[in-house]
Amino acid sequence: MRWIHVPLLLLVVVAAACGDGGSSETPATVTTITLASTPPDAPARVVSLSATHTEMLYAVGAQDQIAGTDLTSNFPLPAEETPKVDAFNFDVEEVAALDPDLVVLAFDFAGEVAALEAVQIPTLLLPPPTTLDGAYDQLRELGEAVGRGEEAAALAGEMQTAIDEIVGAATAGGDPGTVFHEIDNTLFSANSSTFIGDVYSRFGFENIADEAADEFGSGFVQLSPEFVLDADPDFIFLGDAGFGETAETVAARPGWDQLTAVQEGRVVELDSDIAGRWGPRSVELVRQIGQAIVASQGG
Amino acid sequence: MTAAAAPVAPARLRFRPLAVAGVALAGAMVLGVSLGPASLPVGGVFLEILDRMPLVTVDSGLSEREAAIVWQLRVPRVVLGALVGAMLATAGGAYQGVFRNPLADPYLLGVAAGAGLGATIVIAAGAGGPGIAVAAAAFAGAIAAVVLTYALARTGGVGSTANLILAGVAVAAFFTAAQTFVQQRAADTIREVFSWILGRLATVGWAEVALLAPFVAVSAAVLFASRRLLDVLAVGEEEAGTLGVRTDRLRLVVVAAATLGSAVAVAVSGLIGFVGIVVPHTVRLLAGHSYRLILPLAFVGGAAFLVFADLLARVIISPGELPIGVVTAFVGAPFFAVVLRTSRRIT
Repeated sequence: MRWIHVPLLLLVVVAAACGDGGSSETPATVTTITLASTPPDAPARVVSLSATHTEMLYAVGAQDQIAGTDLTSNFPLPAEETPKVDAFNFDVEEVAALDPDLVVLAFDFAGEVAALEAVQIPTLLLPPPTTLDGAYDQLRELGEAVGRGEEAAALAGEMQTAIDEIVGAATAGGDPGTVFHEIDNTLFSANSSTFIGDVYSRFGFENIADEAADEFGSGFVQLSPEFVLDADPDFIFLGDAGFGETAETVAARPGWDQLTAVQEGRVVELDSDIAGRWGPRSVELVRQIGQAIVASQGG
Repeated sequence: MTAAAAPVAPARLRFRPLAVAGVALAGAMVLGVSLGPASLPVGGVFLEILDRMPLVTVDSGLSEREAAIVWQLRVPRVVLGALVGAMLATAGGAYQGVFRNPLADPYLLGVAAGAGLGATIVIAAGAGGPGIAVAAAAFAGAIAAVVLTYALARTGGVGSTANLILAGVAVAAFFTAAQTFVQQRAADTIREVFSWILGRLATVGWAEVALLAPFVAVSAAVLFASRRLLDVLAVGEEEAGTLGVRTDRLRLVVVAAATLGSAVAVAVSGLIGFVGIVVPHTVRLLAGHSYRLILPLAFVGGAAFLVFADLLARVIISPGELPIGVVTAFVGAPFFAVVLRTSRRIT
């Protein structure tokens, strides 16, 4: 029956990548149509230690191969129901107890890879990419690793097409100016050498965080309020909107009411989960940014 | 500190040391408002500040946004730094006097641990970084810890100094453990908690200044008023008693005033360590052992020290900022070592 599943799955995945409001029922649909399609040589028990890779696994239809996910994996909804491990307080026994034949990780902070290899558990380390293209590549690589290369390649292609289209439409009116991406209210930001920074670069933004010294080369830099006020960005995107920051709280900060972005209503609340990940829902992130640009040009 | 260290001759607060500390404070404040990631003309900065004074209207030549940088960011930050530094140093000096223990600091009775627990709970619950909610929780936690320390010390006997310090250690250990537990349960907010613990003046505005200033005024007034009695107490608890000092009441008044002031300071600025130890001892080594000198000098010197430390915190990795607690320890410890080595007044 596999011949019928693949095209159907693609349709669903495309819908997931492009759909606006229908994403909540999508996973259930995927579950029903891909039961029999796991290739025999693919890992059957995959543990994902990162929310992004959990989203990717579901999006390529590998949900029946998932043996566990980390605590931050909250999308799609069925991921909440899988056995949970804490990726930030990594305990190799906790992971081994799930009997995985593949562990996918985004970080190797505490020697996770070595610890897992010591107990003969295969690992796939996929660190955060620094560009959108890197994210597409990673999706394909993960798809290959779980025996769903075709689905992943198709999804990556769809994402690319959708994103290019949104960027093209939003940049038709010229460069949007300068941008400040806020990761948290201690003013951590991301410069152009990061994934989120690359997204802004695609839109032709000039990123104010590029002016700040990046001692660790991580691309994530902390700015001071005075620096932001001095730079006076045209757009402020709140990656911390999920943590209580809003256009109103930004406007209420001392002196911030003088910012052009605040005065002209260009403080944009992003979905924090989507803004912090590089999975299939990056299309939504790009759409939120594109819509803000188009809205500012229209008004 | 031994009884021999107590001054015999009355030590008056002389003009010179106070003037030196005052000049240091003024210099630190001038630098504090002049320097920052935004390169503003220094003349414009001072004209802008002048313009904000009552009954004065001058044109600073700054744009609205530059004026906001000066008046909404730099000035409140420098003022708050001065208030926090003054409060912590004075409270530290008072604690050292009232407990007759050179290691006593403003956090001795559990203020830091209690404030840390309160702030962590609120941050973990999703209130985000520094703000009034976090400050209120920190204050509540600090007061709760100190009340608990007092209650515990009283059950242990007559509420002697040693009992109080031991109770403070026990309460602090318990509150710190509770804080670590809450922190571990909320891994995604852990960085905000650390940022608060290390102390931060970056996000403060006039609201925090308005919150802290009255507490500092009352607390410092009470402590200054007690400074002669602290000198008498330095001779010894029993001796002070025979000289007519009601030591129990003195201790309660001094501890209450110092704790209240430091709790509010901690609530608005996070945990800024070292100021309460280094500044009073530096004053003691340079100017003498009388609390009549130590408390006012620590007040001005602490203000200067923290404004200067905050300046370094902002400038070293500009436009990022170091946690100010890191700077106070990093600068304060070697400075104190130098003072300790070169001073001849060590008893």
